[in-house]
Amino acid sequence: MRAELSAGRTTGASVDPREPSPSGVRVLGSLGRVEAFRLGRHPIVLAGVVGAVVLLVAQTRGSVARWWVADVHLGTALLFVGVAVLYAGYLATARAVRDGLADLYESFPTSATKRIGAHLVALMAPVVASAAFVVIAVGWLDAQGAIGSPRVSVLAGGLALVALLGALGVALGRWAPGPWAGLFAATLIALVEVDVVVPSFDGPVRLGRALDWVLPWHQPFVSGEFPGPIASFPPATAHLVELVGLAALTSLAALASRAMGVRRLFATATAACLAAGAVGWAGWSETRPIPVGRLDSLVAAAIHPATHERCQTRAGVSYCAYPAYLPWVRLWAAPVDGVLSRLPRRPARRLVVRQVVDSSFLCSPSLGAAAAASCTGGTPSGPRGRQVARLASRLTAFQAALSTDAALVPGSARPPVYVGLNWGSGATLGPAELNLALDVAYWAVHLPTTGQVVHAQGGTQQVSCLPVGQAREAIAVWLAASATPATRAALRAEVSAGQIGSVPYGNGRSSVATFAASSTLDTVGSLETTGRATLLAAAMTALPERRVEAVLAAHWSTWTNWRTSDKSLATALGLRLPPAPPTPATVPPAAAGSGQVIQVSGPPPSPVCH
Amino acid sequence: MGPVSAERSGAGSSPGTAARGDATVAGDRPGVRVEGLRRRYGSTVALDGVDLSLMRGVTGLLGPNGAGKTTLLSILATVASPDAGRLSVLGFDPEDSAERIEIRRRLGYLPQELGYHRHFKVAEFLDYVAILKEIVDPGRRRAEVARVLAATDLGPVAGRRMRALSGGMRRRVGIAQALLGKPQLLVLDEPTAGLDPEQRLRFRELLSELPDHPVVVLSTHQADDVAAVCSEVVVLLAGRVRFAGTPEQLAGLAAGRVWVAEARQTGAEVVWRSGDGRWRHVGERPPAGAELVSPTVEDGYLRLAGEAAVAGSAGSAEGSDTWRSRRGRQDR
Repeated sequence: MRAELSAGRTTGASVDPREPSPSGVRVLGSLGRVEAFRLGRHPIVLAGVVGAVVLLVAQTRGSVARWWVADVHLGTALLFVGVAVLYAGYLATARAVRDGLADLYESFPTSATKRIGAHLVALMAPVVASAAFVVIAVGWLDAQGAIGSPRVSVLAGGLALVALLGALGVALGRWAPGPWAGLFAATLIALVEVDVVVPSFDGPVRLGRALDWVLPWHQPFVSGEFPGPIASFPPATAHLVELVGLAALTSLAALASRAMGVRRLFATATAACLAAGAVGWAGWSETRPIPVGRLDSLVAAAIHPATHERCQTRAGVSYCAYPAYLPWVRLWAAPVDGVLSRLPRRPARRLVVRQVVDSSFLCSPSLGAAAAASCTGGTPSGPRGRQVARLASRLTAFQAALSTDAALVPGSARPPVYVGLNWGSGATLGPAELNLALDVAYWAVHLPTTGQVVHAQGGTQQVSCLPVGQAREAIAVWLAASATPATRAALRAEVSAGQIGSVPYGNGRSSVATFAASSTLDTVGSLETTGRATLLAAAMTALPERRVEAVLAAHWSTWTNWRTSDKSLATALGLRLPPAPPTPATVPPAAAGSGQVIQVSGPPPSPVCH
Repeated sequence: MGPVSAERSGAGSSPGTAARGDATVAGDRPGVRVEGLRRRYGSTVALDGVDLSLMRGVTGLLGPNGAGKTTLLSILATVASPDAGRLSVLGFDPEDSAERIEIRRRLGYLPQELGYHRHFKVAEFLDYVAILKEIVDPGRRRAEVARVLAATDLGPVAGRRMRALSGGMRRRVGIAQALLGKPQLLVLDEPTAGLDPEQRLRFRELLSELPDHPVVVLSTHQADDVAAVCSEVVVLLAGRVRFAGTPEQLAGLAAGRVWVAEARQTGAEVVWRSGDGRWRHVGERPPAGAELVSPTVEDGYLRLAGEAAVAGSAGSAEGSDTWRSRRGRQDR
C-alpha cells in the first residue's frame, strides 16, 4: 500500500510545475524584514524610545556630563527601549496564537522555528534604532560639553540589553503565548530595574553585589565620584559578554523545538553550553571586588590633589584639576573672572582654584562590602576590610583638613578655592556658578573660603566662623551675584525660595538665619550666607552697578575690614538695612535667660569671623 | 471503513466509483488518498476509519456538526495527525517532515475558525501570508496579492485594517489567503459561512475559474453550494464516510421518495417546511394528497442523515447493514 500511496508523487495530480522553493535564508530575510518594520514602528517601542529620551535628559540635566558616567546613563535609558521591545516582541511572537490563527500558520511551509527566527531577526530594528539613539545622544552630550570619551563596551552593552530583552519577549511569546506572560515579565523587570538602578527608590529588591550582576542592567552610581575614568571599572566588557551570552541563551530557548533532530540538538546544546560558560565567566568577573591597590591609588589621587592634578593659569588665576576635568577650566573661569573684574584692587596673592574629591566614593557598595562597612561605621572584616578601613580614615582626615590645611596648596598662606567633581548645566548652572563666585568673593574680602563647614568628631558639623553683621559679607554676595547673568538669577531664586537655616554663633545664646545655595551639586565649596547680608546684597543688585563699584572703590580697605558693619554699607549706598530674617527655630526666652548655652540646630556655636 | 468508503477507495470495483473517476479526472491519479483514517479526542471518536480518494476538481464534504469534517480537513491540511491510517496528499506522505513541507508548499487552507490580526491591513496580511508561503520575490508577491484581492473583490478594502472589516469580508480575506500561490490542494472549511448571497455566487464562480484545476475539498452546510460547484460530494456521518459520489447521485438517493404536501404527515423519514409554506416529506410511502417532486442534493443528504440516525439508534452494525441494503437498492 505504501508504494501505491507514493505513486502519485511522480504522476497525475502531484506533478509539480512550480518554480523551485526559495532558500530558508531568503524566507527568513523576507519575513524578518516585515517583522522588523512592524516592530520598529510599534507604538510600545516608540513609547520606549520616548521614555529613553526623557530618562536620559532627566539623568544628565543639571550637570555637565562626564562620559564615564553618562555612557552608563545611556544604557540605563535604553532599559526603557528594552522593556518596550520585550513586550512588543512578545505580542508579535504570540500573535498567531492570540489571534486564533495558529492552525492556519501551522499549514504554511514556513516552520514555527523559522517564524521565531524572523522575530529574532526583527530585533535588529529596535537595536538599530537604539544605536541611532546612542549616536544622537553622544552628539548631543558632546555638544553640551561632556568631558572624556564614551566607552564603546558600555554603549554596546546598552544595545545588547535591548537585544536581550527583545529575545526574552520572543521566547515568552513562543512558550507562554497567553495574554499576561509578556506584560508580567516586562513589568517585573521594569520594577526590579527601577528599584536597583534608581538609588532614591527604596523598593523591596535587595539582591546585593553577589546577585545584582544577573539583572540586565546595573548602574554603578558611584563612578561620578571618582577623579576620572577608571580602567575596567565598572567591568563593562564582562557585562557586555554577560548580556550577549544571555541573549544567545534566550534566543536558543526561543528557537528550541520539541522535534529537533540529533544534529540540531547537538548544535543547540553546544551553543547553549558556550553561552552559559561566557555568562558564568562574566558573572565571576563582575563580582570581583575592585582591588585594594586600585582603591589605594584612588585615595592617593583624592588626598594628594597637588601631585595628581594639572594646573592652568588664566587671567592670573591658577586652576588645578584632575586631567579628565581640565576642559572645565573655561567653565569655572566665567564666574571667577566675573568676581575678580569687579574688585577695585586685585589682591596681591594669586588665587588658586583647586578641584577636590568628595569623600563619599568609598561608601558605595559598588566598591565592595568592605568599603561600605568602613563607611557606615561598621567593623570591616578580613585583611581587605582592614585595608579599606585605613583608606577610608585617610580620606576622612583629608576632608576634615580641607578648610584649614594650607599645606594642601604649597606656597599658599590660605586655603584655596575648591571646586568639586560636578558642574551645573541648564537650570543648575546658576547655583553652580554662584557657589564658585561666592567662594572667590569670600576669598577676595578675606573671609574663609571653601571648607567653611568643618567636620567635627562624631559626624557633627560646625561652621568655621560667621561674619555676622559685617559689610564685607554683603559685598562678597553682591560680587558673586554680579559675576554672571546666571549668578544674578540664582541669587534672586535663592532669596525668593527662602531656604533659611539657622546657625548658632558666639557663646551659643544667639543664632543667625542663613541662606544655603538652592541646589548645589557638591558639598565641596558649598557656603551658607547670613540672612541679612544676603538680603542687603540682593538690594544692592537693584542699584546701578557702577554706583556700587564707585562706593566700594572709594574705601575698599575699610569695607573689607571685619569691623565695618553692614549698616554702614547700606547707609553709604543709600539703602535701608533689611531686617534679619527670623531663624526657623528660636531660643526659648526662659532657656536663654538661664545662662545655659542653647544649641539651636545641633552643631556647636561658631565664632564670629575676624 | 464501511462498505461505501471501500467502494470509493480507488479500487474501481463499484459502478459509482468508476463512473465518477472516469467522468472527472479520467486517466489521472487521486490527489489525496486516505485509508483507514482514525482520530479520537479523548473518548470522542472524530474519524472512525475513513477511506477516501479525492481527484482534481471540487469535492464537497457534507455532514452534520460533529461528523468529523473539520478533523478530516485539518488532517488533510497537515495541521493535525491521525491516530491511525494512511494518508497520501499530492503524492507525499505527511508523516515525513520533509514531505509534509512539500505538501504545505502546494496547499491552500481555510480553517473553520479563522481569527484575524487586528492591526494588519488586508493587503499587509496577504503579503505576510505570501511570505509564509515562501513567495519571497517582492514583485511576484505584489502580483499574487493583487490577483487574490481581485479574485475575492477585496481590492477596495485592501488598505483597510482587518478589525474594521465585517465578518463576511474577513471570510473573503481567509479565502484570498488560501488562494495565494495557486495551490494544488485547496482545503476550505465552510468557506461560504458568513458570505452574503451575492458573494456566495461570486465564490462559486471563483472556484470554477481556478487555474490548473487543483484538488479542492470544501466542507459546507449549504447543499445548494455543493450542487452548484462540486463535481464530487462526500457525506460524513459520525466519523464515517456514508456516501461518496456525484451530487446527482446523492440527490438520486431520494429519487421517488420526495413528496410535497399541504400538511405535515407522519411516517416519513424526514419532514420539513419549505419556503412556500408546504411540507416536504422524504420517505418510502407517499403522504395522502402529496405530490411527487424531483429530489435535490439536500433531499438526498437529509434522507441519508435520517437513515443514519435511525441506524444509529438501532446499533452500529445493524445500521451499516441497513444502509448497505438501501444503497444497494439505490445503485440498482
